[in-house]
Amino acid sequence: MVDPILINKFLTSTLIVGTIYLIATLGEVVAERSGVVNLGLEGLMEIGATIGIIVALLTVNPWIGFLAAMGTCALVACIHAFVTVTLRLNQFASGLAIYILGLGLGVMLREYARSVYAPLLLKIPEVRLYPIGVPILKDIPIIGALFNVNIMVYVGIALSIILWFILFKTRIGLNIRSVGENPAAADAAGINVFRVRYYCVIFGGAMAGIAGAYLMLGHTPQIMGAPIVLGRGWIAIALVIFSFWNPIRALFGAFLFGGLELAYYWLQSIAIFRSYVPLLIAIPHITAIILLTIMSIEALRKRLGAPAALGIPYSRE
Amino acid sequence: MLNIRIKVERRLIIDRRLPALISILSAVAGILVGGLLLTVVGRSPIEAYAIVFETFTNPRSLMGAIELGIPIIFTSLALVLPFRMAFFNIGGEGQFYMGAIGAMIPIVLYWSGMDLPYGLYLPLMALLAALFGGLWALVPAILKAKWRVNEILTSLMMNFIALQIIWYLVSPGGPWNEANPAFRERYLAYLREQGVSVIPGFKGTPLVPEFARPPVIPGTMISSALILAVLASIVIYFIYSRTIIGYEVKVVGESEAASRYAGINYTKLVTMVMFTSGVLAGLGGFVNLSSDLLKLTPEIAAPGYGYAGIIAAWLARLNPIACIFVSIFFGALTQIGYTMQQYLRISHFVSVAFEGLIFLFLVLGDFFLNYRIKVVKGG
Repeated sequence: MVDPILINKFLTSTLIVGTIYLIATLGEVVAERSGVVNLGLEGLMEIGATIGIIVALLTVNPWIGFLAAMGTCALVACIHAFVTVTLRLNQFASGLAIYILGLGLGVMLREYARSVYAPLLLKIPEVRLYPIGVPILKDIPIIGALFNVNIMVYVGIALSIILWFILFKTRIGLNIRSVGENPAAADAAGINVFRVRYYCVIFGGAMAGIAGAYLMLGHTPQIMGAPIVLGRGWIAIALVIFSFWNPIRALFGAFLFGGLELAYYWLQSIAIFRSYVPLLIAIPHITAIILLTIMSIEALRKRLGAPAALGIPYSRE
Repeated sequence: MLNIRIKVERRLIIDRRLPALISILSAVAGILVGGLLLTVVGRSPIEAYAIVFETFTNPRSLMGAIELGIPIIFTSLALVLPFRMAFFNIGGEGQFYMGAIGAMIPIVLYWSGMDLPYGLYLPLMALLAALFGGLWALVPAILKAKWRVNEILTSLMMNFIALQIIWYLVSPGGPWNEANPAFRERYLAYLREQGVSVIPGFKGTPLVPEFARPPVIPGTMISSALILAVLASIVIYFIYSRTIIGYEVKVVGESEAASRYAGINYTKLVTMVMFTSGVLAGLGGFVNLSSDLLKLTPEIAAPGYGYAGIIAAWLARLNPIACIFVSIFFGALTQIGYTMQQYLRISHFVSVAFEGLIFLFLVLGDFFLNYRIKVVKGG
């Protein structure tokens, strides 16, 4: 009934957009596993997007753009680590401050870049990521979608498997989890709680930077003086909860939201939806609220939950 | 050789003036560092500081700052009670939008040919704004009370949904767009009086007519909505310090577990507090729509009044009276952003960056509430 080519197209774009959520979520999963919430994700992604596209255009190389975004956001995340781990101050306030700072700086820098580097915009086709498109394989119904995406989609999927392995099957992962569950016990066992938390927060920041740069280079390359992340960072924080802090489960959540974000695009071809497009754009946010509620009911019932020390600063005193 | 060591030690006595001092220093530090950051976009910090100085000393721009600060008074006041009970409502922005939508209803009806006595418009707009904002704020409150759903995430998602509702209403082809044929007869006649002969049909509603705009305080350029804002802060001060609700908020804020033993009904309390919070943010939307924006457009999101309210409330240490002054300071920051956009040709988002920096310094400064740094000689 429905054209298989259309289905493949839908799945392909779902994977491409879902990867934005996936990368940001994976970083936050690791940070929260160590016990630190970073509400600044949205702001970090805004900075990552700006640095990513500007550096990529200046060097005519998307990968240097990714690296620069990663480095910059890792540095900004250091501030969050310092405030919350070393000074043991309010994680929520610090995260919100980074969100607002990142939003302001990201948009301001982008607007500036637009005025200074306008001719560089012509180079966008040279730096954006294109779907690889494996011949023959990409035409297989449904599965073919997996063979028609850009390389970062594979990186994202690989990362979620690797991070799952690290978190649950290695010594490092055990250390991270124990720091997030019971920092005093971890400390007594000789784990450097502060160092682990620093690394995890900085890793989370670097991933947010990649997610922001990927939003630009893999999805919508442009330089506009307006916010571009548009709540995706916040949804990624919600996705951490949906995935119960598990990188593999994060895959499903991220791709679900990739699809939901595009729902408006596919639904607008149906006549009754056409005049409601602005409302359809809110589908991911509405779904997030519904899913958060279902998750909370489940968590209450099954006593599943966040890492026990999440949000609580650790002090040796 | 002098042997100097820096020692960090816990404060035994907390100076009551310290929080205010930290707030002021954070604001100053935020502006100073923000100015330095402008070198990144090729502007001189001196120019930036000159604009800041000019804004705070020129009576004309000071009045502009007060005008821009009025909506922030509402959005920051809205957070005093929820934050004091550790309910992190960051949905002020969305409640503000919903308030503006509510306030627009009588105006939309007016343009489509329905008449009410002129004197009824402003009270009716305020009432609807309060109701819309209040109801919108109930969603995260009830979800939290019933199922412990994280209120930070839900209230924030509600902001995006509210903004999309505005987009839906006012986009070309939307039911409230100024080009809607239902408004044509009356609105075109009104525009002709103003010397405009066609309805442009941009994204946005028809204008708020003169009789539905709050009067300006005589001798100033400031909307009389300022009086409403000051009254609101007195009411919140009263609720917090003189009523049972205020007492219960205090108890829950100190320890939720203890509040349960004290027999406080959390669901009832959070519902009342969040409804009040939404009412205030909604009134902010009404004030912004009727005194400054004059038509409902997605532009309402540009200054980020709801987010500024979060920082302003924090900077005011959740003191409703201090909220007034801090909000006016934030109004000045918004003004500075627009001035810099005009003269330094940078995005007005520069004021958002300033706000973020001030917030960050404030969070950092709180370290000194509990610790002090001592320079020890020899040792």
